[in-house]
Amino acid sequence: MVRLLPPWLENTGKRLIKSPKAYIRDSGILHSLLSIRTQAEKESHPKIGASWEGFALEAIIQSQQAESDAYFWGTQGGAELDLLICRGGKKYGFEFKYADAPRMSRSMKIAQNDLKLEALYIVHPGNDRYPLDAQVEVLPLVEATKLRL
Amino acid sequence: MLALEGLEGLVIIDEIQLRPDLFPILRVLADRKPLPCRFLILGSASPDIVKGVSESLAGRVHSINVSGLNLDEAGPSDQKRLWLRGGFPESLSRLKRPRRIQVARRLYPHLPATGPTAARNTNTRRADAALLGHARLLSRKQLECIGNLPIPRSQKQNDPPLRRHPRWSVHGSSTSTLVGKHR
Repeated sequence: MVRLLPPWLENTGKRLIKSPKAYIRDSGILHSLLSIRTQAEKESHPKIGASWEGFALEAIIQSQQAESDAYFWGTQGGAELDLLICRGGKKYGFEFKYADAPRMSRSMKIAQNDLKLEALYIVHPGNDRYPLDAQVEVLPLVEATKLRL
Repeated sequence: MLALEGLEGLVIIDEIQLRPDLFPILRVLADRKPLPCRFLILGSASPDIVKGVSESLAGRVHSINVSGLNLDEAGPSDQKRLWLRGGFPESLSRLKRPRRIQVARRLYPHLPATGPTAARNTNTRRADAALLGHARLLSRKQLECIGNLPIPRSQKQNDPPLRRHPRWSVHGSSTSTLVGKHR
């Protein structure tokens, strides 16, 4: 029912967050507990960002079969990455944004530089796919689940 | 044991969490040579039961973690609906939303120790507690309360590839103390 995402610990000379993050795996159960019944209620709910994060994270971990190599990363300074998947010695970052046209944030740049990510994907609920940078791409969830990492 | 011994082919045992005492018997039955049947065991993967399995059926069992319907199965065009209703087939297909009571019922089999009526209320409360922790960080103390998980005592910051992180994937009964920690 609950997924605990362990922290990724790597010596980058920063103070890292070492406690895991918790997610209710099924978004329907989450919404039921939040008393969200309709799409409209979901969209106006203050927890929608966290809900999207949990839903997209679960979908990606499952489709990429990354149960055992999925982490999150965060520093005490506030920079963080929602999901880090390690494959074949390479690190792929995922950020989940409930926004129509997500942009680069400072936190993402820090994650990209500190972790030397192979690629950073920003997953949003819309249908557009576009690059923000050489290694940063905004993409819809369906395409994120089909990425070849 | 008598009932199970004579069976051949594929034997399916459902809701195994209600009878954890079957594991030692299954071990004996699975060690017969030649093996007259295979067992498919269905049920909750709460930590206590998984523990029982790994202790008594090591080398004899392969476990498959089944989740709800995913985006591929539900169809990418149904993403909004899947997101709202979740992947459990009944709640995805039915027009009604899953109710709190059904959520509690779903959680109930994971808690064999408590009685049916008590469990319903307790589980609702526990689910509420879990809710606060969604997409949040947990403190070590909170973690340790969750179903006896192995937590490395000292997590040094260097040398991450050498350290095996335990797979923290918790089910059912462990939702009790998932209270969110604000940073």
